[in-house]
Amino acid sequence: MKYILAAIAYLLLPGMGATPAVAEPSPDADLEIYRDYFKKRFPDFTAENYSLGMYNFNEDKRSQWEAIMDFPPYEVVVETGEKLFNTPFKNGKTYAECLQNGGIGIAHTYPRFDAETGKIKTLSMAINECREANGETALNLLKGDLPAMLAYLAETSRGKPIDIEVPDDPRALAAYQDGKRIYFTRRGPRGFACYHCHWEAAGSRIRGNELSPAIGQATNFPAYRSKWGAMGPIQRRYKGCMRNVGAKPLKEGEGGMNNLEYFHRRLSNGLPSNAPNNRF
Amino acid sequence: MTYTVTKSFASTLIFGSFLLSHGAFAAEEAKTAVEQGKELAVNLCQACHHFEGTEQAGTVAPPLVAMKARFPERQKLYEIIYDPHVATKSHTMMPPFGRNGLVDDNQIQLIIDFLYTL
Repeated sequence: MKYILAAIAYLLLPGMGATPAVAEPSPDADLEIYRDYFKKRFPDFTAENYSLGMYNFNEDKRSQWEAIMDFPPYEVVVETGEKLFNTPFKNGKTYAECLQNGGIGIAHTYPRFDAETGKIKTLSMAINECREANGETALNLLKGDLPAMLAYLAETSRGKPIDIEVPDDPRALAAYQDGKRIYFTRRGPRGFACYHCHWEAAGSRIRGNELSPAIGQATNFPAYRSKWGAMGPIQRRYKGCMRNVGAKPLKEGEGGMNNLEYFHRRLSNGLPSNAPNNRF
Repeated sequence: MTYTVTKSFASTLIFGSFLLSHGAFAAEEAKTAVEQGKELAVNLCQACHHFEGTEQAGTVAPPLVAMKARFPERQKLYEIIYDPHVATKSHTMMPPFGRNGLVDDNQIQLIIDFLYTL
């Protein structure tokens, strides 16, 4: 009997397997901690400041951006996107019939957890699902017609507070935790994690570029980037950034990449959607 | 048919090839250790560290100044560049240049040669 008691006592020692794992904070608790961190870092920041991102830290670039915003290139893309979105499929049906509220004023709530598949769905994926359900082929997620339609849909959500929900479903929570894990994990030979630049180093400069704080970044996407000469979704930016730091980019539209967007967009919950936007 | 290699021909050949290997490509050879180190530092360190001579330096990390005075032990600098996570016992964002094979030992020494001029 004393051997059994000793074995139980041994197993209850930390690390021996019988103790429960340390619970992760809930997504809401996380958000409070993160907001608090950035409030201390940038005590004077308003919602507009968070959305301005790197332009808070460089007067020259900010004034260049403001000049571009007089006649923003994204406006042309929004018009194109609206035409594409309102063009019926060959079978006569429309995108509006697939999407909640006809697609109007919902972009700020994506990506969403899809209870049917148990996975995260971006608005781009929802558009492609609609196409395939109506006998059309899926579009490229990162370039061309799909980001144009995304830009139009984002425009209908302009000003609405980003609202990414993590429902009370263990699969949703798992996706959120996976996205969080990716965000905070070192990747590639230089060992950079997203948080290295956009958390502690936010406001500083890497080579010629000031670093935007994590909270607020997602409000600006999809964005027309001068570098691309095109409209692109946030996952295109994630891929570019991963390449910039020497890491292998995650594949768009699936798994870890979607979970990362789920976590990262949620950081901007409550901030007005400021998309589409323009960036260098 | 036999060929006779004269002494003068042979010595011309040998001397000529010596000249070619050490003289004709003088541009690479003439770079001092400090110059080579500076090239590496501009490419690899400037992104985060400002130092004299940089134009697009980052501000994420401490500027590199008075390096000989601050790091009199060469080995200490080597360890920081090789694996800063171990050397500084921290979660620093500085990449483990040596450990992850971004530079080799010789390149670290060249970088230190340059850093010691700052």
